[in-house]
Amino acid sequence: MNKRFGKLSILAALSLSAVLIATGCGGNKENADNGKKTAEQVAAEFEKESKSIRVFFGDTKGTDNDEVSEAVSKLSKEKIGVEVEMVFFGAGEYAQKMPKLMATNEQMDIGFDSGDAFVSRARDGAYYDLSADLDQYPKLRELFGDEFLGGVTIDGGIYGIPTLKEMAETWVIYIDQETLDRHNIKASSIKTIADAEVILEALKSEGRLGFNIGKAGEHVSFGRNPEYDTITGPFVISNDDSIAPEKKEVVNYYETDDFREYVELLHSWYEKGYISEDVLENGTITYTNKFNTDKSLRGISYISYAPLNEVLTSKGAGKEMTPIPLTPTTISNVSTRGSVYCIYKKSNNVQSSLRFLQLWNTDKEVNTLIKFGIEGKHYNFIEEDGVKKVKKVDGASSMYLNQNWRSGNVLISQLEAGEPADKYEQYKKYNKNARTSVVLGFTPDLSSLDAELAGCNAVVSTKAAALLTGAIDPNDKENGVDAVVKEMKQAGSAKIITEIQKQYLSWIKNK
Amino acid sequence: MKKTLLTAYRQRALLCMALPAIILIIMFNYVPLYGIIVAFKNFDFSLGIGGSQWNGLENFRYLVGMGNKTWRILRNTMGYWALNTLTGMACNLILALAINECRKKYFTKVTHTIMIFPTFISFVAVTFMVEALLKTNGGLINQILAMFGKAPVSWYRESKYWPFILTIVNLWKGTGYGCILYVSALAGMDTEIFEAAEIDGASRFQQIWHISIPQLMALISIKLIMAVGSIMHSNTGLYYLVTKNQVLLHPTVQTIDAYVFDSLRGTGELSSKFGIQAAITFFQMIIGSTLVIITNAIVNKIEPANALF
Amino acid sequence: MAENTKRKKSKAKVEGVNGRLFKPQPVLMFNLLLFTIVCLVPMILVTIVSFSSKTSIAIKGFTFFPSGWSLDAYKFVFSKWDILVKAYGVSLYEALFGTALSMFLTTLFAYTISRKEFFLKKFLTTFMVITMLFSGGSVSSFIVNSNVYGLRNNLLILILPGCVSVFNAVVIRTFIQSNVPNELVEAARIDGAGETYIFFKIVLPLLVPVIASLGFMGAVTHWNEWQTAMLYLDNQNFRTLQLVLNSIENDIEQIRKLVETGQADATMIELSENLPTDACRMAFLLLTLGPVLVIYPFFQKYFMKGLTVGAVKG
Repeated sequence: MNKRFGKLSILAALSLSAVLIATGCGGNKENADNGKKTAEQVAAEFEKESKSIRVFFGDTKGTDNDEVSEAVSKLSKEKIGVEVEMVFFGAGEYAQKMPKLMATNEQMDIGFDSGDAFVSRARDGAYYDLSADLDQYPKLRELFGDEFLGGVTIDGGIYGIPTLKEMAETWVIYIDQETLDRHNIKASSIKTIADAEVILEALKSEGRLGFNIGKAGEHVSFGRNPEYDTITGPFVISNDDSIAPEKKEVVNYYETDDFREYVELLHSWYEKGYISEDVLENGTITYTNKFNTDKSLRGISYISYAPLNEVLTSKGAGKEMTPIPLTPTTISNVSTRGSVYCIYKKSNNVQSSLRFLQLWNTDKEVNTLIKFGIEGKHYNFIEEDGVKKVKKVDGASSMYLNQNWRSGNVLISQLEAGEPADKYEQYKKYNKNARTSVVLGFTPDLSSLDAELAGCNAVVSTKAAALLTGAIDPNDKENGVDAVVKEMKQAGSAKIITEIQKQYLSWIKNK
Repeated sequence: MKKTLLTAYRQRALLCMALPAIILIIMFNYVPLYGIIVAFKNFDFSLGIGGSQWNGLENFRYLVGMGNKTWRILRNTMGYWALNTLTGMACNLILALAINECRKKYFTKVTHTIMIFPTFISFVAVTFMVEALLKTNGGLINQILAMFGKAPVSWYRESKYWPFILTIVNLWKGTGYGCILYVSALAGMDTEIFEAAEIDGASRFQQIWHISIPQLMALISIKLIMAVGSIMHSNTGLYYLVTKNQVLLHPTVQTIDAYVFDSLRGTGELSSKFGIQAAITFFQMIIGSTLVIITNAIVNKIEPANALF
Repeated sequence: MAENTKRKKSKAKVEGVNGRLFKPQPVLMFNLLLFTIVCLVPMILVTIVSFSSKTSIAIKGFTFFPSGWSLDAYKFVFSKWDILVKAYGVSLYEALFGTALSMFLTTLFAYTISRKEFFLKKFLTTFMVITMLFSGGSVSSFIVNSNVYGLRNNLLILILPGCVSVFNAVVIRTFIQSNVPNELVEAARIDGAGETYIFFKIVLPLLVPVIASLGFMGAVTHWNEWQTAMLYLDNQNFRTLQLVLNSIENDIEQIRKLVETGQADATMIELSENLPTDACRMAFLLLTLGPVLVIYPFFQKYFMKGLTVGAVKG
């Protein structure tokens, strides 16, 4: 017996050491000096690089992606001397594949990430800290105010370049103007989600679906709540700007009375028939649901807004749609890290990557190429009201697709046919007029509380999500609000709150 | 030592035959074993598995974090394992025997082919089919209930029915496929012993009970021991997709794998927490391995020839 | 001759007994038929849904009596024929080569550990058991396969890991121990036959039923598998059939979510209007079943072979 295991352990040891040798060579490239790099240092580093980078996108691969990639590479080589390979994985595939890929020694230079996953990976050493290099790329640096970089700044490091677009977040309900007119409802009279009941009543009387809700789990978004600024996961802080920042308290949204009120409202709507009966199982609009085929039967949606989105929405709905804002317009961590391009820590082409990011975000030609594909093949330029605009060819999306909100600086992208000439003026105005979240730039370090946070998030994605469909009685013993609160507490929400509060206070002091 | 080398030389043909398999097993089973240590580390992408910091049992706190759901989830996981293993094995055996007993070979050929179909239906499609049966409004079962004047049942909100529903789905999906091995084992049996039994006047049932089943015992116990190793595992497709991950059903349907799958997709945050993932795998593995060893010991006591090791 | 009559008599007798006592055959066939129908009906449903119109599915759901018929699903599916053909190729490669190599190496291995005199027998048993008890997890496998063996974007990844299945090895070993008389091997050895000769000419032919059944099951597993191809192969030409199916599924889900939560832009909304719906899913499903229908009866012949051999002997 012993002998046998002896042999095996030798075997195991041998194979183990082989692997350690093979995998352990990926050394880390910490900055030697803590200060910022000089132009000479950056130039010297760039010279040493292979100047051929791979960029990862989370969009479905069409038939012509390789062709676009080659065109981008050619253009980039011409302008900054860096060759580019664009790698596309479908969105679902991207989420599953990337974390594993990041752990291998495969060449990866730039990749898309967003939200809490971005924060978690930045902390886990996946992304390169740009703070020492960024000043040497003034064109790129100037694009973003400190505000916009706040969301990607974690523990003092800058871990990615956000996509410059509408910077603030507003949640609105969309309803067609005709219905409002028919029932004499004034959009301006609706200030809170509870006020929207008049619309629901009107819709019900027409036999239409009232409130559109995705499947359980998809209606969870804290941005929808007008009273709070989100810190991380379910943890929020009051957005009442009359309270002094250092007096504010971190809370778990699901343990607040506001949450209880909201789900009670939703449940009353459910009882009154404003929310479809099988919302818990199917959501309100699904492929096996009459509301999918007959859009005229749809009700109101509570969704995120960007300037001029009503143009698109109206086009999609085939009638004039009116957005009614229900939350303050806020620049927050969530809205600024919704779409980030990061440089991987393992990349050997940091300077080339930064050069490319700068080009992509400042050069209209490259931007248009990455966003729309090749002229004449995927789109054509047209003249509209004296402005050059892009008109996509039919079926372009199956040949090449790169979604607007994650394909680089939106503010320099070409206008599309049908869009007003002052689109980007409006964007800038929208960003300028927005309020700033108290906690913008504050990302608590909860690495010692991973388990607790994961436990809380699990409650959110199950019980809380189900409550947010309105189908479950908030006073239910097993699944109601009390049960959510109880499970949150069991998962350790109090510990997290204390920790965040502590870090928040010291952060606000140093701000 | 010299003796071993000598035997090795004499048996070099056998050695060569085993070698490719041994190399592949080392490459794909042994070498990745070093990944077990991730469960005890705070994984850092830039440092890799070897270089990441040790963090003791920190990663395992996630499992504890399930709180009082822990017991429920463990019970479901093991309960469904037992249910599926027992019913699955019984049905596989019965079907295999039935196919073997049937004299009309073209008939069994056609029917068995069809019985294998469900294996190929993805769980996404199965989810749609189950929904077609169980939908509250217009589902087939509720239509039938209505014909008998009974009130419709909200299947997706009543957790008590689901152990039964999931067992049926599992059997429907796996039996035709699962019995293949038994069918071929039965087909390969020596017929003379049956003939002798026939002459002695044994009925078919007696023959099955006293000859076929005992001969299949080796296969059955191997399958059982193998199955024990996966006691902490469950099919995410069945317990997550088919149940539509309905919160109201969780008390009777949520298993470890489904729970983990849920937290992995939730905010996507856990998706790169390799330490926590490894800790969960480690926990499942340790329980499974221990039970495999125990089961094997028991089988060894009863019938050493049927034991795996 | 005399012996033959005796056999016939005994057969007749047994059939008589069976017939008098419980007429099992019709009952048996009835039950088998019943289960077959239970398995067949969903397939018919799938077929009907694949021909149903979008509106019918939206309003009536999955039903045997759709309100409208349509060929749109198949038009969509066949508009992607180039992808499909490639995917068939990759899937067939994986299923056929993967299974063949796997069965060959596993059988060789199983034979050696079935030999009592083999000096590594005990060691190899422990060696196998350890792989059953412990596993390194998916992350380290991924790292090792990509970094050390360079199997990223290499078609061998579909075949090599899992090639030698310990479970199969044990089953084959057990089968050899109980169905291949040791005397047969010994006799051949005394006649001066080499180990390879014994294996290929004497043992292997006797293993056909077990190899056929395990092989078929292995091929099915390969055929249904998509995770490996998804994780390791980036090349669009290397997608297996199930992966194509799965990514369509994934994209539908993703786009639906974006549209529903209001994050979609114009191209997305346009895409979601023309999305392949349930009908397409079902059409795809039927297409993946096709080759199985062709291949299965061929394998099944071997499952039954043992019996026919026995019958000839009797």
